[in-house]
Amino acid sequence: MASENTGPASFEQLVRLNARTVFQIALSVVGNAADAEDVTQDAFIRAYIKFESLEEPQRFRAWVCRIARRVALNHIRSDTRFRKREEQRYDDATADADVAAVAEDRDFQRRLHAAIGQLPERLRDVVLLCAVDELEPTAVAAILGIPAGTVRSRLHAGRKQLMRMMS
Amino acid sequence: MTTCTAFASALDDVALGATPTKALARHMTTCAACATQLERRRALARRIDGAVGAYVRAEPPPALAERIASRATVPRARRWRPVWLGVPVGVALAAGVLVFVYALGAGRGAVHPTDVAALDAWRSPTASLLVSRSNVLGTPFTITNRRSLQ
Repeated sequence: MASENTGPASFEQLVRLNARTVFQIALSVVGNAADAEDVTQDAFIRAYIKFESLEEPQRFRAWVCRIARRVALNHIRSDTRFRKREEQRYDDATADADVAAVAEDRDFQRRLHAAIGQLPERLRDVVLLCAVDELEPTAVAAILGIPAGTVRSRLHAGRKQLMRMMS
Repeated sequence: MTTCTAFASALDDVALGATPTKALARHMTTCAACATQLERRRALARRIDGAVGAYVRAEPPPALAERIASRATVPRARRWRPVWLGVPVGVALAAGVLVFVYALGAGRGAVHPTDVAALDAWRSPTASLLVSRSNVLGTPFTITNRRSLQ
């Protein structure tokens, strides 16, 4: 149960502390900032509504990360606009940069993006979540509900598969 | 070369941080091609890690956290009571409904067609009062008696 002093003020603090991580988790799933913002907001609102039902407030971070991932997955399954935004992602990212200088890198990014999309979901989830700032394998394990050892083995397998696809 | 090909997968493992097997380590001491290949694979792994990181490590808009936090000042929905409290209430309600339905069914059973004879034989408790004024000794005033009077 949430402790008695975990009122709105402390929830605001939790939002500020975890917004970056939640945003990046959302981004790892939806692939663009606009949708990631929506998902982040939605995830925190859901967390707020159910905040009092949280048995262990100290596990808020893992809890809200799980919510964010679930919301993000639902988002890409239901939002038909997602694919169009996703296609625009790299164009937006390089719009202001020197095209000649980033051409090779841009091609690499495109191929990598395609390769990530081809990874089995269980590997892709781990590879992307482990890339999120401040998320250790144990935290990723808590989010996905799998052992930390499984996270490490999947991370290795996923990175190795990406290497083969990018060769 | 065949040996080098056999080590391709193991080279990737090492490039990703795994400890080389004894066989690979021994091979690497004599094969410059594999040593070069290992460095290439390490460089590729670093580049992929960097790109994957860049893929997800974007900074959220500065106002995002504040916007969400400000929304978190509205009253929260009240916490639901534990599910187990609803169980006895549900059981009591179900029992009440069952009793009601049973009673309704029992009432309908009382006018079952097989009871018509008994109903026909029934007489009002006040029937004995229906006596003729001309016969105060108590002979019931029946329909037969009424006809006889006519």
